[in-house]
Amino acid sequence: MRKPSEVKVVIIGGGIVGTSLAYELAKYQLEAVLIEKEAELSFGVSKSNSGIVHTGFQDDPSSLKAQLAVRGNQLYREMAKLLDFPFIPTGELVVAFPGEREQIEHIRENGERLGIPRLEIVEGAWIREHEPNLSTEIECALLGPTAAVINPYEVIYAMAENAASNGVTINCSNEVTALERESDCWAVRTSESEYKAHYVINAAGLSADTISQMAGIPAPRIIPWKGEEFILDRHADRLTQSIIFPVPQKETKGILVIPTVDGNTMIGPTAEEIDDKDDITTSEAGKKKVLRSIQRIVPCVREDQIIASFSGLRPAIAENEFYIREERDGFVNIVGIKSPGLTAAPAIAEYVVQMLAKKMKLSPRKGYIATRSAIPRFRHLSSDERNRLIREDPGYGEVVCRCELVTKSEIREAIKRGARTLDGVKFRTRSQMGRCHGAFCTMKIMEIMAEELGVTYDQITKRGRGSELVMESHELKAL
Amino acid sequence: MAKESTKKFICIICPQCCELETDGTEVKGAKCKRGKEFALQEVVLPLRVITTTIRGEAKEARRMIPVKTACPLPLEDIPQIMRYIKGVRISEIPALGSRINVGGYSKPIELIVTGE
Amino acid sequence: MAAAVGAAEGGLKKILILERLPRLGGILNQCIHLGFGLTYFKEEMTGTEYAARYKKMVYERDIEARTSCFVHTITPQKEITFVCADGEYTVSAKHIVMATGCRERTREMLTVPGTRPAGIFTAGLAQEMVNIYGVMPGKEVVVIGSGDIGLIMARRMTLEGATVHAVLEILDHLSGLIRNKVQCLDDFGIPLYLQHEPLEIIGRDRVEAIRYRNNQTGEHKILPCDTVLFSVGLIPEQDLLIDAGIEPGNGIHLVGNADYIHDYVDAVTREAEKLGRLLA
Repeated sequence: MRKPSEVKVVIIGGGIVGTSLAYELAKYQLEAVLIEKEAELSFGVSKSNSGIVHTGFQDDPSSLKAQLAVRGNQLYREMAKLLDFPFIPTGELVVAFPGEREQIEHIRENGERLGIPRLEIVEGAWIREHEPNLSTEIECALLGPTAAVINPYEVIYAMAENAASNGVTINCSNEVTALERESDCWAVRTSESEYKAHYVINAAGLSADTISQMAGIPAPRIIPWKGEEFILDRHADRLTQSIIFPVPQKETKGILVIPTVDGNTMIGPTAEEIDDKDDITTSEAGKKKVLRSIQRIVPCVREDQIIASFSGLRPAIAENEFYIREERDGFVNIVGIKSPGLTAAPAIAEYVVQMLAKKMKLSPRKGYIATRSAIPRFRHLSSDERNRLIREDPGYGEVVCRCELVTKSEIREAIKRGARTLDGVKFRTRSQMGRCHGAFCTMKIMEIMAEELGVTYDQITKRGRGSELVMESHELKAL
Repeated sequence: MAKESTKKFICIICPQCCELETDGTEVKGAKCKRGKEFALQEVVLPLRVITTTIRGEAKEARRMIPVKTACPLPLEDIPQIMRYIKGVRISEIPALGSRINVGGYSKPIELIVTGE
Repeated sequence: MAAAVGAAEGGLKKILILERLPRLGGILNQCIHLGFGLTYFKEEMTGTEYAARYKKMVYERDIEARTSCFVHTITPQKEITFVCADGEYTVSAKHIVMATGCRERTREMLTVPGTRPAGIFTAGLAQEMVNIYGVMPGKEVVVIGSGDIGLIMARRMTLEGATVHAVLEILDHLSGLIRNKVQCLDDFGIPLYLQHEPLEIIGRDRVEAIRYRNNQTGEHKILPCDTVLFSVGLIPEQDLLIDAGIEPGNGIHLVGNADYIHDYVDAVTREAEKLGRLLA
């Protein structure tokens, strides 16, 4: 094994929380490394997040999670400009059927106590005008104009690219195998390497309890909560302009209608407590449940509009609150970050860095690069911009993914910026996400990956080791 | 010579998919001469043309070159024949229709290049 | 190509073929199997030979054909915008023939409950993997749907050394042609299970098994495999029109599988040549 790398901070987990921390720590003059067990960032919990930046009014105003969510919402607005990722201010509506008005009034009061701006209760006529697809039985709704949608993985890649450009090391496919306290530092051993760090930040999502135990520190047990979501065809007109919530249930925010960044509509998620941290199956029952709930709010949704489904797990804990604390000797636990975790993530990072600032001197990084620019998205460019790009690089004139109009150079750029798997290319470019679901472009993308990464086809995976896509035909035994 | 049993096939010669029945000498159900021949041959030894690919190693050529066997070969021997064909490597770009000989099988096999 | 040849035969001078792939022929180039040309040319050819024959006819008639050109927009005014390695161009035409073929249905593939591991492909993608790139999608295969490409691929995978355990068809009859069942399944002892419905895909990173139900008996079974190929129908590729909100007519024509799904390329050819002559 190589000599251990000595760093100030090791962040365990490359989801939205861990990557937010990498981005936040990159602002200071220190050595930090982020390690992720999956083949790429966001491949754990975050990639199947619904992508909502909440206003923050759904939670108890005295809770840490509500305060961090409100702050996170503000931070995303600034970050979207600096880091060049889409942030669509759709706003949100909590809809009230007869008898539910009191509940939304209560939510508004909570929201106002948290300082959430421009909350307003809108009546039936407003709803008919602005959201004609909603059920006419809806009596009124709470409008939260500051809610928005983002693509979780896009934000993660944007923050990671910025952090990396400022010197933070990001190592994927690094699963922590041991965590030990040595005289003045933590020894973090992974499947690939070893680090000595003064501070360890545990942002390991579903595995956060396991990681904490490795360090000999008790932490709340993670209870996976499964959520199944369903994506509707883009030909089906955008169903709603804003994110639509029912009046919240006890444990979750209910089943929602979410207009996504990419112009589709997503419906879900379900909420089901499960035992298996690997269970990401979707089910017929889940689909029926989501459809039933949504049809009550948006009666025109049909089952045959569903073009894709996926499921994800929320790393919940027994208490309905984030568990964020410095345990001992510079070991920080960030556990149980379920909704509104995505919204709160940048604020969680800020909060934890403030915590560290009490222990060590943080000075601004010299030559800090504040911005990052996105991969040019050919589909969204004007004809002049397209021609300029093609003149500089003819690869922008080669369309690889025909459904989403993704070019060869976009795929190459995604690989240059860290994509190592087919899903990694998909999340960075939107290739394979269209109507053909990759039937036309999978091999063409694999060809580019083989060229750029200098690997053979059988080494290319969908999302990391074990998910290899093809084998060389001579590997098959002769008949 | 009297045959005791008759055999039934679906003809694969053309899209008509005639239902053929034969006792080894007479063929019922065939709408053409080729169907009749197919049925008679099918009773004795089913033959098939194999279509497959061989690996092209020329840099500019497509990686796989499509080929078919010049004549139909015994169905039962196809796994064995495939093994010989899979061993073939070509370093030049073959012209459409050019022929490649493959050894190893009980008789020489001729492949015809079907793509360019 | 057949429409262009037909139009050229009819005397039309200014014809332009725009093809997204680097060579003419489209999906025919990955169809290495026989069964093409029987009724139109009265000889049996492979898809690749059929494509080559047409390519020759196109070149002999000096028809302008541009490959690696991707058309992304057409307008009701019959302006066509395409992208290629030299830039983005817009051309206008008196007639536009949409010979865009079809795409494979995947809705079933993506809403079959279960996990989303590697190893789930459409039959057409598997065909491209094996016949163009020379790689294998897997070695223990189950085919869902009894469409022609699925049948052809069941044989092709078997020839290349994989084991095809079964073809599952939810309907009570074969979707593809009988001759393809005979020469692709029966010849190699591959079972076809009619009225069998896939219920769940199992496997975390790579497919490990498929659970299905015999809809006649209600019996459930789990069949271990590492690859699931879907051949559950084709959809005419008309997205360029749908996106632009254009109906065919007024000089915009759909032909071949872009219009409706045909069983034989011969019928497509005949229609396209006829259309070509009509436009000349």
